[in-house]
Amino acid sequence: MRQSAFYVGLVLLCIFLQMTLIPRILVSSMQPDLAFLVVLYLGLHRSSGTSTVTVVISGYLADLFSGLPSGTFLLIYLVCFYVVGIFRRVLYSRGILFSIVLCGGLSLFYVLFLAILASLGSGERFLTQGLYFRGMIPFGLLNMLSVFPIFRLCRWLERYAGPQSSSPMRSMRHGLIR
Amino acid sequence: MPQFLRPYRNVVIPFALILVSSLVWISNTKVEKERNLIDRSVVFLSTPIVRAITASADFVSESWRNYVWFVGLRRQHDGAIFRIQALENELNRLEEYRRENGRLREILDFRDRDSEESFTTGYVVAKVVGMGGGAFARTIHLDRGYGDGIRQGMPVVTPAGVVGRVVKARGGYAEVALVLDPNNAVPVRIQRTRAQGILEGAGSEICRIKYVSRASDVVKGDRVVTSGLAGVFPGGLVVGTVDRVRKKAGTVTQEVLVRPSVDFRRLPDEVLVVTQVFQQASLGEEDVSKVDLQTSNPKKGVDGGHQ
Repeated sequence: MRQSAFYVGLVLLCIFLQMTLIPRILVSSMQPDLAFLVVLYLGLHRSSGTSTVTVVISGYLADLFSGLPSGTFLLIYLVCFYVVGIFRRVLYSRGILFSIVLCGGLSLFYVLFLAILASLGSGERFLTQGLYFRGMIPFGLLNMLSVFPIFRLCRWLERYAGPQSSSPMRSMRHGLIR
Repeated sequence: MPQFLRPYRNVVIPFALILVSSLVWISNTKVEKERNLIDRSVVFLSTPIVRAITASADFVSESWRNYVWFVGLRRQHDGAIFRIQALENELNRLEEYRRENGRLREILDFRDRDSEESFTTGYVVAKVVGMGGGAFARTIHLDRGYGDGIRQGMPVVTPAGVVGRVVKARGGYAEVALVLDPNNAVPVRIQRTRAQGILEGAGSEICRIKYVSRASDVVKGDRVVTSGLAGVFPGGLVVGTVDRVRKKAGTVTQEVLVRPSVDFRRLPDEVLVVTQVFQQASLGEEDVSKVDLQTSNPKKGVDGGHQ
């Protein structure tokens, strides 16, 4: 519960940074989605039961400050969170390289998903959503570059917030997950 | 959860959550619902935090620019740029009047049905406190809102040109869809040839004018200004310059790509929200009509097409 509250706070901080500091720092108009990276961390390193509520709140907060129709980021974050969960079960690795590669792949999926939602929402054809296709690669690269600092921040936060019995690695060691 | 579903909860819960979030998205796609008490409370509580972060960032960057990076020179430069942009805008308005005057002289007693001209008489100065939270969002957040007279649909401008249009206005907070937003539609015209079209966002830093006749003379470098149609944006405001013109085979229109005059990578700290426009609809009859944007309801699709 305490860790979930910390993660929600972290997501909120990420959203605030994206609204204020990051547009000033980055030269390009494209920016990484830091809240999305926190969701990825939760999918990779926490159990789905306790993290689902955090992901739902993160999606709600991202929607609130995005200007896009409500539910857009809630849907994207949830789908990505469960997709990461599947990858974790099949190919679980603790290495940061695995996380970065997964983040790159999921960033492309994220943009395609957003383009589909945009085309469904506006009634225009999928292939006319040029903004998303042009931004796909820079967005993926920026997300991949941001994985390391965000994941380090999450790990530091976990240590600060105290232990939680729902870590999949710990559960594996205790034979709870086969 | 019912007993018979428990063995399948790893499938049922994700499926149910994704279904519910899909329904939330579908219900908000066509008509954005009013924010509820929780939404308003979160935004209300977060606004001071966002302002504090913005102020801190401003303080650090301003300190750096003013005291470390060329003492005082930066401020002078910014002031000069601001003044040049304001003068360019004024010059552009005068150019519009000059062209109008010349055309009226040419046609003499011919009633000009297309001489709409308008000018801003009321505005609210608002501070930009943040940009849209999403990676692909094309919105900015202002520190003024409904309580300051700002209403949905009002145009937002700077001395450099058009910024966008208010899409949400709350008590002390407003959200503005930039002209870069693909869902934002602004009626514009090419200043040199008066070819008309609808401008919408087309990329990270580029806009597109749709419905420009293939026969219209449009070349790279032409200045694009608001046409004043639909009565929301005052006519003659600079939007940008033509960057590229594409003529596809088998079409009756051409696609015109426009580079906005406002540098959206570095928006100014303050913008103007136009709250009142005087519009001269047609010469001779009712000379001047006052359009109060606080009470008018802009038509959806043009100037009001943002979902």
